[in-house]
Amino acid sequence: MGRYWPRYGGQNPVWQVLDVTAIADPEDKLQDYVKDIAIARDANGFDRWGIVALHNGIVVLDLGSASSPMDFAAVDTFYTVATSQDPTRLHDGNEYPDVVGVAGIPGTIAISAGKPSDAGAVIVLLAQDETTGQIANIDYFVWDAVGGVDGIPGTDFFKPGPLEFFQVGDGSYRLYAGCSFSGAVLEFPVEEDPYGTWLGTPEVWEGGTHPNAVSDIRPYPVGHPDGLPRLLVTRYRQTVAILAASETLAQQP
Amino acid sequence: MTKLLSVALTLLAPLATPASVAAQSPLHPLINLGDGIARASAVTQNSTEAPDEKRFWVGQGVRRAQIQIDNRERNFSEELVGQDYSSEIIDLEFDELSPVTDDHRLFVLTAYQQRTGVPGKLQYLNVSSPGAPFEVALVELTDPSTTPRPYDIVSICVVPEEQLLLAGGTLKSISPLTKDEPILMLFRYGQPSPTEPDQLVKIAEARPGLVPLPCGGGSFHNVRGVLGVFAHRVADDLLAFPTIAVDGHNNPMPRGVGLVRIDADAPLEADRLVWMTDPQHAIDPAGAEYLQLCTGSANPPSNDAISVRWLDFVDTVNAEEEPQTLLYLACGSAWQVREYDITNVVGSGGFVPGAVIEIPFNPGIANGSDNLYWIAARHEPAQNVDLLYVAGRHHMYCVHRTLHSYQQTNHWLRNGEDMEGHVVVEQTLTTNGDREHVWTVAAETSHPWTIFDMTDRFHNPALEAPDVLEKRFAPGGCDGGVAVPELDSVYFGYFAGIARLDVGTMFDDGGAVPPAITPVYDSYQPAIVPAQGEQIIEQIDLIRFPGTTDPFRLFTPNGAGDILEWKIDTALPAFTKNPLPPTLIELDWDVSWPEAYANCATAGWSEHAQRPYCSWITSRQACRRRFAWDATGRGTVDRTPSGKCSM
Repeated sequence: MGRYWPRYGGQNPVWQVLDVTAIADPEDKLQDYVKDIAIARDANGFDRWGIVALHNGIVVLDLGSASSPMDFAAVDTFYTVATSQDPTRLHDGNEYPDVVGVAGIPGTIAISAGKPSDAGAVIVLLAQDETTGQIANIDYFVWDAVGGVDGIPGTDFFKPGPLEFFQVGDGSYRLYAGCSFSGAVLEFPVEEDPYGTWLGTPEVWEGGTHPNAVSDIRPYPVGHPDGLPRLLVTRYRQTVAILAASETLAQQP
Repeated sequence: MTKLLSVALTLLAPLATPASVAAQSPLHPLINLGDGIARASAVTQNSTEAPDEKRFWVGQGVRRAQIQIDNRERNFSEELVGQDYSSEIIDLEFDELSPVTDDHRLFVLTAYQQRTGVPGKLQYLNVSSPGAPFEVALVELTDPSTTPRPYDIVSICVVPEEQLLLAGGTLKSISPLTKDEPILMLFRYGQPSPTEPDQLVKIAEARPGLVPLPCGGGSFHNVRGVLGVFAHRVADDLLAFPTIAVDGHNNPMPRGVGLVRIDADAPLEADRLVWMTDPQHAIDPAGAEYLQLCTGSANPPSNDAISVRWLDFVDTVNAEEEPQTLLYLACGSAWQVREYDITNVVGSGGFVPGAVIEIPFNPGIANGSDNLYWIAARHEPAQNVDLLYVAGRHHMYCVHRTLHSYQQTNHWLRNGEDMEGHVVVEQTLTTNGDREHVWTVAAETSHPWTIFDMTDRFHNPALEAPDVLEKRFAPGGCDGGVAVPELDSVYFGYFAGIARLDVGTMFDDGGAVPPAITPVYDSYQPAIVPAQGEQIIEQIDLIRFPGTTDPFRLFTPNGAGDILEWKIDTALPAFTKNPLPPTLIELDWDVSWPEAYANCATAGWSEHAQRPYCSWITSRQACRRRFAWDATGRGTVDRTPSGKCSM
């Protein structure tokens, strides 16, 4: 969603590299491998925040607003491992040094991260200040171990994978999480209440054979008449699947 | 390829698996393309006669691709039969029972899924009449005992001229009190009599329990599983030679070869497969070196540092000498092909070491060593075969058996693990006489099946290194895709190139018509840049430029920190919609891969600048920096010196 820019036109592009620096790493913990990048919109609906997954955490970059040019300032860093300020940044007391997926919507960043040796994975929702881009707190936390997400049978997350938010026709969001071992895709309703943003009970597409890591989830930009999204899912071992969003998800208690 | 394309357009669609769309559907696939990584192959080895009836089968993902030998085209109509695999195809075996009567059988082994417990399956196809309905029997490989332990069967082998099939793998441990154990199975197949139907019956199972493997210096490893099965008649004995894994630090390590006697007609099942467990009937050919490396090196080898992964047999017939049966092993990162005389292996002779053919360390490989793991030769004793074909992780090698020399092919296997192949004798329209081709499949390459012409090297090994005769793209695993509804297409990155999948009218009717997705084989565009060579690509994203000469452009990071731009052919009259050769937009790096690396790309829109950009991160030792491209060149440059950055 959001990758169609009809307002641009007329000129063949002349590329120029903008070399932007300063990924903030005050704890000197971020590892070198980049696992994912997401561009999230601000409250005005414009692409604003660059979210970069760097193994042990994420960095939020300001890509510039409608009134300010691109400057790529790093506005916050969030670690998924212990830091000097917070020995257990993720509130289950574990370190998750394998951030694989990031995605964002106004006010919320989602990350998927795993423990070493495939010992479990989490999806975490982080509250984001829409004005500064800084991460405020952990809003919601979905824990997974062998056996299912939060104990829900059949939702074998096990190893984290890519994430993608999609907005549906009524304006609400859904979060789609690919699994980097089972090849499954989880579909979560994104719920909001005065206390924050959280995820409802997921539906699961098992995705076929194991192992078959989901490598990416992108829009398949032909929507359902009711505004439900369709997803282009690519996988490392088998190529392409196109999924239709659930029509029953919102009806779940 | 045009014909191939038309066939694909016509016939591939039913191979996809659209799910039924109910009034209130849960999350479900509109389309799920089963083609994936190529793991296995089988072939009609003698294809000099009636080549249009001969096939090369490839297990790619959950699809059994069937390629016609003479025109190299995939026969989709034949694939529709029995094509309902729920697990990856991991091995294929073909038995040309009778060249006279065209009585042929194909065996398809699918993987055991450890996480879900889905058992592996063995499918049995009568392919005597391609295109006609096959007789199919599925055999679930499950443990019949009251406390079942899963069978992880990974390899099958036709026992030549016996109508027997050998299967091998691991009896998995299910508790801390047990260990993985090797397991072998023996099946008999065919028609018991002309009036009886085809059958496939398991007649023996060997669970030998604790099997020691001598590994040098008087020490032993315990065998934990079978990695491959091979059978051969040596004198009066029908023998199986399982390649075996032993205890490893984390996982079983491929290490050696065992010996099993086969007597399918023995009255007692226990006598039909007899694993010979005394030390002379098992070899760990690199054991001594392994111990030396372990104790004498500051960097001991990893688990697979020395491995025996594959083998083959050569029967020599020389009027002046006694006939010999020789066994050849590809010995992992010992970078050796080792020869053993197994003429008297059952008796007191055991495995008699012979020649050691060295593949020098790092033969032209820039980063790291090769690791030999596959070997093949022609199964024609009268030919006194002199060339062996050995695969490493990066190249295939032609090893001259008697001259102890080798040639490295020019074909680069990017991530060429699990390569395997077969020697096929063909008579082509453009040549006189039979040609000896090696058809190979390899995982995670841009061309899963590749054909080498080895005919001249067979007789003249002094020729220059053999090159590829033909290579074909097929859709395997990929790192990302992007849809372009205006072009009825999905483009996906295949690590070494981009291919287009056609989605037909799926975009035009809002998805009302049952979807179909068709790989367009001609569309494959390799990630090759002039003067820069092959590039690795990963994620992919699209930026549109309406009103320009190239309104659709794809972007992929090239792994080395730079990015490739791919325009799409939308010019009339061709309007192929296929990706055009890429352009490398280089960044001013002071370092190159592996110090610089990028694998993600995401496009965005700058509302302030009113233009799109593509962003990616490049990292590793150089600096953690973000690069963005401004479509009109109005951006600023703010470069940080190399070195680790911090705020």
